[in-house]
Amino acid sequence: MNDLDQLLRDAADSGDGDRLDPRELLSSGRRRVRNRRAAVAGGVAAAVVAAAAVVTWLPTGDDRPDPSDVVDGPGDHSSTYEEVRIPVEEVERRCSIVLNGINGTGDLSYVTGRAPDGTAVSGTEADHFVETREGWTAYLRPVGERWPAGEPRYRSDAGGPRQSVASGSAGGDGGGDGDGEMLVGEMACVIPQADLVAAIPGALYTPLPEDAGADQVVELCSAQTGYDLRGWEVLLVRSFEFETVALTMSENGYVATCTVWDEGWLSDLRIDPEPYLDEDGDPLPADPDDLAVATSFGSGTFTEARVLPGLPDGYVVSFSAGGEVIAETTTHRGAYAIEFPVPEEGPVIGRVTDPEGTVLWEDVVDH
Amino acid sequence: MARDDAEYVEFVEAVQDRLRRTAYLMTSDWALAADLTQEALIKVYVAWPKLERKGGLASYARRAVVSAAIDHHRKRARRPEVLVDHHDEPGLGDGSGDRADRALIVQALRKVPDRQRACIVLRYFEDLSVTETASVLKCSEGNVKSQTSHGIAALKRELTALGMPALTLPMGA
Repeated sequence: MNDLDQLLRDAADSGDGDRLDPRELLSSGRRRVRNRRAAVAGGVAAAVVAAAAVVTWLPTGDDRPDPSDVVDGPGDHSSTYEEVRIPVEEVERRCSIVLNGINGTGDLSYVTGRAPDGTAVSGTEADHFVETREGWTAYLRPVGERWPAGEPRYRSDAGGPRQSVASGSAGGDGGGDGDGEMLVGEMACVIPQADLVAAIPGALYTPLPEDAGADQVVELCSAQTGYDLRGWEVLLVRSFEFETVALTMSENGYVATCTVWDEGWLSDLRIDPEPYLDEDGDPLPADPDDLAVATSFGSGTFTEARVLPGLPDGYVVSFSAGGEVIAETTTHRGAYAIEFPVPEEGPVIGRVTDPEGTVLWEDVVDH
Repeated sequence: MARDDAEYVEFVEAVQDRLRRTAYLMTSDWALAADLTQEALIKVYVAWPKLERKGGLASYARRAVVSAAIDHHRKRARRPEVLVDHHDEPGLGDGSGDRADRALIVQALRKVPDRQRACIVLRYFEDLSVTETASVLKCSEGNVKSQTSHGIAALKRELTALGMPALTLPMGA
């Protein structure tokens, strides 16, 4: 007969006996502290430069270059979402700063391209799609290293209806580079705006206060992702077990979802590709298919934050199992955020109803 | 070496094996467990001055490992196209009963939802109390009890399905 605690100990004793070198950890820790301090100093310097530059560089009307190849200048952020594409080399430069800061990798060059033999090269040499929109995600590898096997991410993201973006590791090699640092796998990077990039590493590892207000959440998310959402309307801020989610909308109806993890070391940002408002600022009509709440989710805890198009306040999003509602929330300008433990067994029904209780959408959610 | 650095090295020597084992039970991958432990210990260094003042070094390190394991799993779940190499688990038919048991428990544990698995590992491997587990996971004690109970039930189901019904499992948290 076996006891659980003894079995766990036996299982955990089956390792290879490898040990981490504390002195290498010490070096890595010192390097990370140095990088953070340097990044903070760099951020302050960048802010000063930006403040000075904005006085002399005021792009207007026809003076503005084609957004398809512009490197944006400082001070041109606003509460209106504008798609800004930058050159691939600039994506790689900005994201290298961010990813070196996150990983403590010093001065590695992260690149977006994949050569036919699987090694990482500059995206300028690649013939595949490379994301170059600020606020969207790019996936990078240190130059010369091999990409993970399988379908490259940039292809799968390119055709998706919604873009999920994040800065940080999206997978590890499971090895070390001999310098005490974790080797990185495919790395996701929110492409930062030019005048925010230098301050990102310094903004990482900043715990969110328990009583943080909406402005603080959005400010931290903007600082950690390098994409300025501070002029956007905050539709909803909600804290869950592990994360705080903020849904924001630009003046022209684009929704950005920002997630700040509890530990404060990282934020995720997702910008929806289509606006939710028409040219007059009114909600676009809802297509029933667009109302589909979570179409599938795995085991454990389920979390979702998004905007249902076309629905004003007071619509109800609910999930039920075994005839009982297990989670329910209401929309604010179509925005909702919900989290619940997924039942072990049985179907879960997702449902959207109007304030009078009329069911607008209902379906079984796979899990 | 500065006094703080010497203390950090001493701390790493003292806790790293335990942390890596905890991470392994959370991930069933020794290499990944090493990475998560390494990252957690670097975070400890960065936070060292604050932690020394406020206390809770070991608790912080443990939370960093468990959070990283859950976060890693969550990200992989959201991004199924990312491939991470996993080392082969010990074979089930290798002729060693103990080794087969170890493989079975790891295999079964992997099927248990993240938070429930974390509760099991913290309660029955780390020997933490409900209160301590709640502190590590930043949740209520009631939540720990509930998650542990569900986790044990799930683990028992998985083990039975794998042909290991003789396991003595606690009845709840």
